[in-house]
Amino acid sequence: MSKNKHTNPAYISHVHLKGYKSIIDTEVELHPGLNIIIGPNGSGKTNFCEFTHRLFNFKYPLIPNKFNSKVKINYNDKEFVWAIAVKHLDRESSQFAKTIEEYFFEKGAQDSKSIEYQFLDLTELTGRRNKAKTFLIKHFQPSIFIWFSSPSTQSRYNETTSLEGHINIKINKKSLELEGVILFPLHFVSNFIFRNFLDLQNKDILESADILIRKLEIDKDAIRNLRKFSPIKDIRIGKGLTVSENSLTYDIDYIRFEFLVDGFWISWNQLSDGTKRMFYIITQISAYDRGLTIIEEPEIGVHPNQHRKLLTFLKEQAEEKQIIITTHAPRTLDILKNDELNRIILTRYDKDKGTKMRHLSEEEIKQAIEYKEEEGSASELWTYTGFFDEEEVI
Amino acid sequence: MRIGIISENYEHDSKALKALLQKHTFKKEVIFIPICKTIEGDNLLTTKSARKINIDCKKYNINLVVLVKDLDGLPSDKKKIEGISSKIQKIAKNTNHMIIPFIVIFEQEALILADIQAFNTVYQTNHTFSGNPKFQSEPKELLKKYTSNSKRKYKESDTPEIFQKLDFDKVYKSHKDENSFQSFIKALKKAL
Repeated sequence: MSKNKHTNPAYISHVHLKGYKSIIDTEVELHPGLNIIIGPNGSGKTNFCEFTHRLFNFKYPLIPNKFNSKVKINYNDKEFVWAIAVKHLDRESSQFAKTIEEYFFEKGAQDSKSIEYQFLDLTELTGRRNKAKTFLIKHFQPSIFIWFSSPSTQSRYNETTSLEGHINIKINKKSLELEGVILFPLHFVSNFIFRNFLDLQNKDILESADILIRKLEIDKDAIRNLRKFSPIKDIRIGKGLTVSENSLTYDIDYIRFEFLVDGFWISWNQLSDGTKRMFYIITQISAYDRGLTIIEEPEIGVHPNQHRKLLTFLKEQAEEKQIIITTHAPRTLDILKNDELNRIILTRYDKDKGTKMRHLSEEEIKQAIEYKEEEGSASELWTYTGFFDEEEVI
Repeated sequence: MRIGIISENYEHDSKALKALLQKHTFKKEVIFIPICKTIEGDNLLTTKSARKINIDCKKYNINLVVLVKDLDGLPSDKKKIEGISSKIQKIAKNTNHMIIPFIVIFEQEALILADIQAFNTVYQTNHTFSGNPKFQSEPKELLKKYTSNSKRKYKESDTPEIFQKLDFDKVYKSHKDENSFQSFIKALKKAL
């Protein structure tokens, strides 16, 4: 990464968070590209990831006088601030709104007395395809996916499903928006499969169902990345898909995906858990040109050789996007070159101060480089020499 | 003859070079095998690599080893070239196998510039490169720039696919003189 000029025009350069689970008052500098958080269980890595993600998606729960956040975003070497602080939350507000999103939706940002804020139009900074500001890929592949309505309305359906079954989708003829349900992960349909379709401006193109079927294209970048970095070598839409239309909508029924692994086409439920997770990570990241992706422990359920490939993928993608990963695998840190060791962030939990985060000191980096020179890898240094012991961290 | 390839990145660099070398007909029958998967980046030129080379050479029945290292600099950076050469020699002393070094001026992407048509085929672009690839600083950034407006963007992991399409003779003729693809091929042929 060091020898590449990062082309990401916007990245989070500094985070200062207060008031979320183990985070009492924590701040940390972040680099463009790849940042790796490592620390003991219970040190607050997950809380940091959740907090940062919720912040940009307005999902933070409203807890009066506690929540305070300030994030600096670097764009073309200029600094912008994204800040939200809950001040004096009145009883009425706390009754109707459970999250910042709900509060703003009801009250409107302009009338806010309880919440101080300073927002940016992140879409302008991060590009059109970056409708969601951050992505959080949690520890495991979700077994149940939540069905969402059209991305613009944000309201939810109670139905759940998984990729194991087939998918039915309706597309509004006039607005060209997906109507009814979209499968989670949201990107999978809205950007991964239907990207080309939704980009169509000329509504006349959609004259017939046949044309619509031809537009059902699986994203080529995602396929290429899966082929290079995972056991999945191709994806196709299985037979049985039907398209019909009425006066208002196109109805696409029985969309079922098949995956080429070891020369055989298999269904989603035949993929191993590790392969599902790699699919999830690779397609999620491939779907966006820019933005922040936070991934918790990408090594979970993944064979060491596949883990190495996955890290190669993440490092390559981090040339254009900011990626934060948490890890318990010292092997992950070996992906960093000597001049990238400042991308390691150590976390620890202090019973009085909560979660604390810091980078390696210059002396520690020097020590790690010397160790690498001698041993060919610093994995043993991270694992066995007390490098991350709590007493020595802060 | 079985030739092992070791580089800073097994997935990109080793596989890409294998794709290019396979296009050439050597006097002897040769098989190129990327080895030492776990070696990455700065770990390549450490003395521990010698041990890993020995293990993999035994495992894959390797007769000689090609060690590829990006210079991350131009030919004028003699001090850097000497530094890398001396580290490679140190590794060679600790292995049971002959090592043919290939110090790539700047980085492997410089080889692509010798046959930009192959690149254009992959990315459906129409670029020309008339300069001397040996003196192109940061060729990877240049290739990224070439595809900045294309549907498919250049990625380092695409190099095996591009190298498969490169014209071996064009690369051989463009990268000549000291520390070049040409001098590396000559040394390899001599060692066969």
